[in-house]
Order: sequence, then structure tokens, then C-alpha cells
Amino acid sequence: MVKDTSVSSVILDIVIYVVLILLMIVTLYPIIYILSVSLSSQAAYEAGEVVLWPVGINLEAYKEVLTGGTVPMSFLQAVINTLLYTVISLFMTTTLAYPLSRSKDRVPFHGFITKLVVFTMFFTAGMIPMYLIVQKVGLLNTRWALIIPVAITTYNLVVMRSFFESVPVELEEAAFIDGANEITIFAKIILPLSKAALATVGLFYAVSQWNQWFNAMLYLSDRVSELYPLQYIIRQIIMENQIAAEAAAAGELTQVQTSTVQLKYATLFVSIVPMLCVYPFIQKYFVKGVMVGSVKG
Amino acid sequence: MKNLKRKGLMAAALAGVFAASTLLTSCSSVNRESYVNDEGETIYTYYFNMYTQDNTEYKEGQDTVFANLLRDKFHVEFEYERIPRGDWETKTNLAYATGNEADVTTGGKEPQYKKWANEGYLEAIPEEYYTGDDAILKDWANLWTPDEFERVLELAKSPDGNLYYLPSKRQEKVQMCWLYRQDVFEQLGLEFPQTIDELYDVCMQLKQAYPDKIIISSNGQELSSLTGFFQAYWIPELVMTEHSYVDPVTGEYVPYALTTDNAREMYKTIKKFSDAGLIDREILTMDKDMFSTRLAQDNCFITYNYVYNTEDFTKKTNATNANKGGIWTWSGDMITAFPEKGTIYKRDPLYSNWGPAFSVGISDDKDRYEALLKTFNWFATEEGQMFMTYGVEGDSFEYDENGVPHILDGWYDESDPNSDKDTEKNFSTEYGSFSSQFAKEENMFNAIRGDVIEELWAAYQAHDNYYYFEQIPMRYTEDEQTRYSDLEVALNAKRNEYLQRFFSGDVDPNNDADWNQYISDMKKVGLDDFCELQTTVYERTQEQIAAEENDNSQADATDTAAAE
Amino acid sequence: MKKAVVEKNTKTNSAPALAAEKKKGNWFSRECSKFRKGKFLVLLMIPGIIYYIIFHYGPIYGLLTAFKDYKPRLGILGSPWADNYGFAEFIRFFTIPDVWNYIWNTIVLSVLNIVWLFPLAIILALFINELRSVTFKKVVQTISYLPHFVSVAAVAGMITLFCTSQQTSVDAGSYANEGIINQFLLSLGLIDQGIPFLSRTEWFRTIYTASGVWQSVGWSAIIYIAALSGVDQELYEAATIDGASRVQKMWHISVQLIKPTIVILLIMQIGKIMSLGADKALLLQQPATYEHSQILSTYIYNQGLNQGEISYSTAVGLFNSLLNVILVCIANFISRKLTDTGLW
Repeated sequence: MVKDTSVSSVILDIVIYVVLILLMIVTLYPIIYILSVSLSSQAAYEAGEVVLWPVGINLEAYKEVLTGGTVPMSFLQAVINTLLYTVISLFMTTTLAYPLSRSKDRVPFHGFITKLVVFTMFFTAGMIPMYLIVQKVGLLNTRWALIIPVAITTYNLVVMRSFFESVPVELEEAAFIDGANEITIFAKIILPLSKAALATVGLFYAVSQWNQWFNAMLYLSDRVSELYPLQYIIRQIIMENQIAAEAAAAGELTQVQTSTVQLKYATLFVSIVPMLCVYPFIQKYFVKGVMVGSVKG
Repeated sequence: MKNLKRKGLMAAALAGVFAASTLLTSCSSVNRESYVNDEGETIYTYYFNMYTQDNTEYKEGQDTVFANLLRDKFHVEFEYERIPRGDWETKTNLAYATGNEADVTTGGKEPQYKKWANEGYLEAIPEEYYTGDDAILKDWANLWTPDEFERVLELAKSPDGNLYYLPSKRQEKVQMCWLYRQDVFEQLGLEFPQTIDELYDVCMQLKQAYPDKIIISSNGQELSSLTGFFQAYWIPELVMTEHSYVDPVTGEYVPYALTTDNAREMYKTIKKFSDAGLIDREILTMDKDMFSTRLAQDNCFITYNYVYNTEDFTKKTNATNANKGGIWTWSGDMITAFPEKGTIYKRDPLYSNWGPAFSVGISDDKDRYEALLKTFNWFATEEGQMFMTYGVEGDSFEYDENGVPHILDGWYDESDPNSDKDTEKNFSTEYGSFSSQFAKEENMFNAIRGDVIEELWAAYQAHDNYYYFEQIPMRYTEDEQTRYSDLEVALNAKRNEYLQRFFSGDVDPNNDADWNQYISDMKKVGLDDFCELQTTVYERTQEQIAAEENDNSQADATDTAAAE
Repeated sequence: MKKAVVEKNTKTNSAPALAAEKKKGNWFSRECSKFRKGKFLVLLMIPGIIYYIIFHYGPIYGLLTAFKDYKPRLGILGSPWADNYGFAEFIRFFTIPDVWNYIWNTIVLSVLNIVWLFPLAIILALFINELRSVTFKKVVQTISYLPHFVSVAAVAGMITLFCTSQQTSVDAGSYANEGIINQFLLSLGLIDQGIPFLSRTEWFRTIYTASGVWQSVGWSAIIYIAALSGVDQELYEAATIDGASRVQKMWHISVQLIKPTIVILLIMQIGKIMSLGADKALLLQQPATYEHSQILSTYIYNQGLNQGEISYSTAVGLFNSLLNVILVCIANFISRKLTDTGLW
């Protein structure tokens, strides 16, 4: 970029830096607060002493989260699910997006299929019919119930398709002239060029699986509780308080055990960490991937 | 590929959809219902959707102490699906809606069971199983006195006059009372008040002494936290969920409580307290964590709560400073706005609606059904109560020289505040039993909370003119139920909205225009329809019950005649 | 998305073939005739198409329950039709006293979300794009995307904590009973009395939207940041030589280049206006704010599955989906007219 040292440019720089630094403060404060509470002692928290930094450092909550109970197992499950899901979804998305990005006269029912696919983005049949299908296919109470029914996200499919569309036609034509067949073109030319797009869409998929809890609640029963992913456990821990209060209000239960705030926040923080670590690695692919995919519309 | 080519992709697609659809229509699950064991006995098996109230862990499998006991005694085996409280509605409804229901479901609320019964999901429990001296469920029925049991049936039955689930005995007669900081009251020389005006004076004195502090707070969720004020104005504690009541003195039936002039007086009073800074502004949305911080920061001197919470509150109050010397205690006086008329306290219901309910079709095999009922009856027998409360003699408990059972060391003991459920052995992890969800053996119950409840009960009984509200039986038909729940959702939303706005000073109950606005908004969302519906159902149910009693007394008369 | 290019290809590469096919008959057989040419592509598509048929079109059959008096034991086909020619549940829905209010609230919250989140994410992306320090760039990006991973329940919990108020007056000696936001405002003297934000109707939309922006602005900006980083630097240099200021360059080059992305994402958002989730609204709403905070999905949550009303909640869901489809079609149509970009 050409260096611009005019007054207006300096003012712009100042505005940008101020805005971004403010944004970082606003974004970070609640997150630091979560961390600080999880590291503070119960008494300090209840006395209202925790404002920004931890008071009366106390690692008990992390010890409890990392050694006992369901969190370590569910953490492992979430990692496995995320990896499997990312691979499978990428495969499914790529194989459908590629033909849909190709010329209309080589793909039967091209327009029809595109419309059918886009339609599902806005039109959903609801939970019960979906449950019946998942049951019929025999996925209930298996890990696959969290993976297969959501294998393709139409949004990601559209992003992927437009990436393939933006690969210059000339490359393909040249390969054709060299005598390459469709398979070679897809495997040897298109896919290597798409590493970036794969990383992008892969991250979208990974994040959505990582944050997923609702399907786990629907499709997994307690008989396979070892399959519960982390976010479902977190939800249970966080909702506990509310449930206990509701139950008490209804006069049905009187003593429900609840976790401490420290434990809740520690679990929450543990769930943020992996995504925090993944992002920088994928960042360089990520940026280029989305660029080519979406900039051309 | 060739084949596909000819048919065309679209045809294939349509065929796929069609195939999927056809498959779905024939959706039913095949459950194993019984098997014959090595000794040639038939063992009945059941799926059991059991709710769990917290993160208790259970020893699973069919080789636990509990499972073996049930198999030996009743030839039954359960396969559990344990459903956390927060997911209960979603998961059980989903199970029924998709034909995946279990044979036994527990953890419901009564309206839910009645609704399922209306929808035809549940099996009615025939009367012969719970009436009479040799009925299968006689021990369960005998948890109550005959009069009480009659009352339980009146309330728990569905509009068709059938019972669709087994209510469970509630051992707490009373639980709720006013709690206060004894040390602060003593220091200022205050007595706990008996009328609403006295309460105001006491609060004002506390406020003068501690201007920065909040005086009244509560750990209840949403609206239950103002129930102490409701009762002062002779409005039942459960009015937020039950809407209608019968005045215990005048016998007057009120179809909707919170729009009456009396309710307006109550709103005015609450506003008076709130304006003076005497009530926690967050009381309507308080949760347990927030309330703990209130206690730790001395931001609550008076609360309406469970009588046995005093120790816990004292501990929390002193959590940040061991030398603070805060002491919580309970008051045997309730507060009233009408001292001449009398005072209201809360009598707990005779039963809770924990269940179980049995899915329709369970009685197809009579032996299997009866084995199940026998099992549930056993939990109510002395033997069953002993096992569920104390476990196995010699292993988890022993009798002392006076014949009183005691939990052995190393086992979690609910009556011992120093006992830790997480580190010590307990019945769910050792025996695989679902403890604590049935009536407790008396000694244990008294040790946990029974004694303080007796004291509170005695304190209420010692007063003259102390009354409580009886629950009123309401039996809705399916259409009425739908209408009821539609109207209720709309009315609750409006009512809660105004309650909070009255409270926060946004609208003023003293102001006629605001109050009329409230009433007209309520009418707009169906207040009149609702009152009419409630009155119809109430009157019909009363007639129905009268007729049933008539039948019973005639039947009794016939029996007596036959016996003679 | 890149329709124009595809269509151009079609025209240049295979116009004769296409014309020939056109003569051969109707659309169906014309499409079928492409199987030979696209063998490999068809093969590739099979897993994806099977997936869509089973998991997206299979369940649509379940929509029948909306018109039935659904009894699980009888199955969907076996259940009797609902009253009023099958429309009983729809009629029931539209006779709810506050139904238009719920619909209106849903639309307002969705639109507010779009109106704020969209421009802010773009501005954030533009600002980050202008940063010269690579390290700072990475730090800002990583931090701004963090909140995306905090669960909604936890966010709601923090909002409640930060917004609490005892309505302490500004003259009071201590603001200790106020939440951090009120403490801040009171100590600056910006307000006379603590504001109970969560129980004031007029604040609900602000809180809902602001927390939404907080949680997703960084995540939403990523796609624009990426798009911007691919912009040809020569364009900027040429503009600089022409004497354009940086603000002008941002507007005339950067924004114009990511416009198609913006349009596509906007259309997709518009198609989801009615599908605003219940989670956050349920966690943030208080009775006093129902006037603004009751949305369709919270209503369905309270009335539908929690009460086991399958047919009813399916009917409401169907109504929602139809509105969504209509909205997205309108948006796509307008966008095609105005910008020549569209989702299909």
C-alpha cells in the first residue's frame, strides 16, 4: 500500500485505532470477567469483590472440571464429532457444490436442483418429522445422529459453489485439451486450487459442530450419555440454576444440588479454549478462501 | 446408472420421498416385554422414562442390588432413560409424539399428565387396583388417611373420572414461613410483625438503621417471591399457576384472583414498599446465585421462604466474614392485611405429581401390568420405605439399641449436614436405586426436616383464625384444556407484564386510569372467556364429585346390606 | 452466485448444442439427455442429492400434521383431518389475541439485527483492512470473534448481572447495589437514578440487538475481511495517483468490490427474518417487557413442544416458513433488478 501521510489519513488512522481499541475492551471485558470469576474464591465473588481481576485465587473449579465428572469425556466426544463432521461435511459439500458450479448443459436438472437446494434454506419441516427420519434411518442414539442429518449446510454449499465458479474456466479448458478427463480435472486441478475454500468452509462446519447441543438433546438418550458433547453438558450446568428455581417455584422439589458459579464459568472457559487455539492456524487459508468464494457473488 | 438415466433423476427423487414417507407411516417400536429366566420364571421388562432432578449418577445394569431385589420380589426389570429436568418436557413429549414412549414415565406436572390422558397416551388405572383392602395398590393408598385419599383422588382424576397416574405422598404439611435476621432484629429491639402495617413499620426502622441495604428479598424465581404479600391479602400462594380459588372463610368462588379490587389493594401495598426502597427491585427475577450474594452482603433481612433454610442462610450470610454473627430464624407468625378476618398460611398439597404414569397398552398383558403396580405399591410399604431410605441392613445402616435405624459411616446421610454426597457412598451409585423420590421412612424424614415442620405446624395451629386455601379440583375436557391453555398463556403474559410494571413504578395501581388499562388489557386477551370457562369447569367438577360420592355411599350401603 | 459467468459460458461454449436440444422436446427429456455428457458430475452429486432428499425433503411429509388432528398411535396418514377442512390449527393461531404483536416483534428484532449487525460488520472489516500492523490486525480479529463461542445462556447471565439495578438515586452514598453499567452511568452523572434495563420495555430491543452485535460482529466481519484482502492492490494505487483520499478509496473500491457478497448475505438474512430463535429472547425477556419481547418462536416454545401440541406447532412453523420463502423471493427479485446479483 502506498504510504499516505496527509492529515485526513492520520485522522482516519486515529479514528480506526480508537474504535478498534474500544471494541476490544468491550469484547474482552465480559470474557475476562468469566475467567476472573472462575479463578476467584466463592466468598470473594459473593461479596461482590470480583470486578475485573480474580480475587482470592482459587483453582478448585478447574481441578474439578478437568479431573472429575462428565466434562473431560464430553470434551473428547466434541473433538471427535467435530473432526468427523468436518471431514464428512466437506466431502459432501464439495461433491455437490462442484457439479452445481459447472456449466448448465453438462449437468442434468442443474437449475432444478439448485432451486431445490436453496429452498431448504428457508423452508424447514420442523423437529418431529426430522426426528422420525433420523429414527427411521437408524441413527438415534449414535454419534452419527449429530453428524449425518446436518451433513450439508446450504449456506456453506452456496459459498463453496461460488468458489468453484470463480476458478477460471480457461484452466479447465486447457486441461480438457490436454486430454484430462473430468475426474482428473476435479482431483488434480480444482481441489488443489480449493485448499483455501476447504479450510474456510471447514472452519464454518467445525465451529457449528462445536457449538452444537440441541441435536444432542433430541437424538441422544441417557443410555448413551457417554456420547454427550461438551456444549450439551455446559448447557445443563448453566441451566441448572434456573431449573432449580423453577422447580422450587412449582413447589415440587426442595433441594436440588447446583454447581457453583466458579464451576460454571470454568467449564465455559474450557469450551472456548480449543476454538481460540484453532483460529490462528487456519487464519491464513481462511482469509483467501472466503475471498475467492464470495467476492464474485 | 443406466437405469437411473432412463427413469430420470426427478422420478428417483419422488420415489425416494415416497419410500421415506411409506416407511414412516409404519412407525412403531418393538419392545421386548418379558423373558423366561434360567429358573423358568417369567421376568417382565419395562422401559422407564425417569426424570432426574440433578446430576446424580446411577449404577446402571441389571445386576445392581436394587435391580436384583425387584427381580426376585416382583419378577420385573426396568430399563431406564434418565431425563434431566430441563429437557423433560421436550423429551417426553417427543417420545409420545413419535411413538417412542416408555412404559412408565415419571417427573410430570399434573396438567401434563392430564393432557396426555386426554390425548389418549396414558392408561387409566382401574379403580379396583386402589380401593378395597386387598387392592394391589393398598399400601400406596394407605399413605394417606381415607379422607385425605378421597381428596387426592378428587384432585388427581381426569374429567372422565379416571385416575391416570399415581400421585406421590407429600410428607411436608407446611414448609413456608417468614424468615428474618434474628441478630439484626434483636439489636434494634424489633419484634416480628403480624400485620402488613406493622411489617411496613418494621421495615422502615430497619431502613433507617441501614439506609444502604435492601430489606426484603427472596430467592424465588419470577413471581413466587411475592407470595408472602399475596397471602397477606388472602390470595393463595399458587395463584400464579391456578388462577382461581375458594375463600376459606366465606366460601366465595373467585374465577380469576389477580384482577379483583382486593388484588389492587395488594398491588398498592407492594408499590408502597417498593417506593420506600424496602423490597429488592430484582426480586421478580432473582436466582439462587444472586440471592447468595444478597445474603453475603447483608442485603436481605426478611424473606418468605422454606422453614428449614435458616441454617443454610446463616451460613451464606457469614460466608464472607466468619465473625459477622448473622443468624437467620423463622417466625411462626404469618402476616395479614385483614387482622379481623384472620391470617392465611400455606398448607402444602397432600401429594406431589411426580408420577408414575403408565402408557396406554400396558394392561394388554394383565400379569405384566399387575407386576408393575405391585412394584410401585412396594415403595409405599414399610419394607420398601426402609430400603429406599436406609438401604440394606448391615451394609448401609444398622439399628441401635432403641430400634432406631442409623446410616453407617462412609455412606451419605441426608440428615447429617456434614455428610457429602459426592465423596461418600450413596444408594444411587452403589445400589442403582432411585432414592429420595418416594415417601421417606419416618425417622429419616423427621431427622431431615420433619421436626422443624412439626414445630412450624404447631406454631400455626396455636393461632386463632389461621386459615389455608384448599386446592380446588378442576377436570377439563380435551377442548376445554386447549382453550384453557391458549387463554392461560395470553393472560399470564399480560398479568406478569403488569405485575412487574406495577412493581417497578412504570404504571401505578393507585391511578384509576392505569388500573382500568390493566383490566381492559386483560379483557382483550380473554379474561371474560377465561372466567366463564373456569366457572363452568369448577361447577361441573363439583357436581361430578358429588355424584361420585353419592355412588360410593350407595355402593357402601349396598355392601353393608349385603354383608348383613 | 456467479450466474452471469455461467450463463456466458453456456452461450459461448455450447450454444449450438443447446439450440439442438431445445428442438428435441420438453424440458424433462432435454435435461435427461445431459446424463451422458455429465456422467462423472452426476456420480459426484449422488451423495449430496440423497442427503437432501432424505433429510430435507423426507421430513416435509411431516408437514401434513399441521392439517391433521395428529395422534401418534394412528400415524401421520392415519390421523383424522383437523376441523375446518384441515385448517383448525391455523385458525386457532390467528385467533390468538396478541398474534400480530408476536409477528411484529419477530420482524422488528430481526430487522434491527440486520440493520445494525450488517453495517457494523462491514465497517469493522473495512477498518481492519486499513490496519497496517499485521500483529494488531490478527489480535483484533481473534478477539472480536471470541464471543461467538460463548453460549447464549452465559451471555444472558452476564447481561442480567451487568444490568441489575435497585434504582439507586444519583445522590446516594454508594452505588454498590447497582450493576456495573448503572454504576458507570451513575458515577459519570449521566443518569439520575439506576435504570432497571431488563424490566423496561423500551430497553429490550436495544439490549437484544446490542448483545447480538457484541456476540457476532467479529464473526460476521470475517467474510468481508477475507473478501477485502483479495482486492487487487493496483486498484488502490491507481486511485491514489488519481488523488483519491483513503475514505474515498474505502467507499469506491473496497465497498464496491464486496458488494455482491453483501447482497447475497443480505438476501439470505432476509429469508430468515421469521426464523428468529427463541433461546436468547427467552433468556432475556422479563414479564414487564413482553410487549416487545414475545416473539413467534418463544410463543411456539411456550405453547408448542413444551405442551406437546405437535399439530399446532407444526402449523405455526409452516406459516413461518412460507413467510420466509415469500420474503426471500421478494428480496431476490428486487436485488436482481437493482444490482443484477441474486441467490438464484
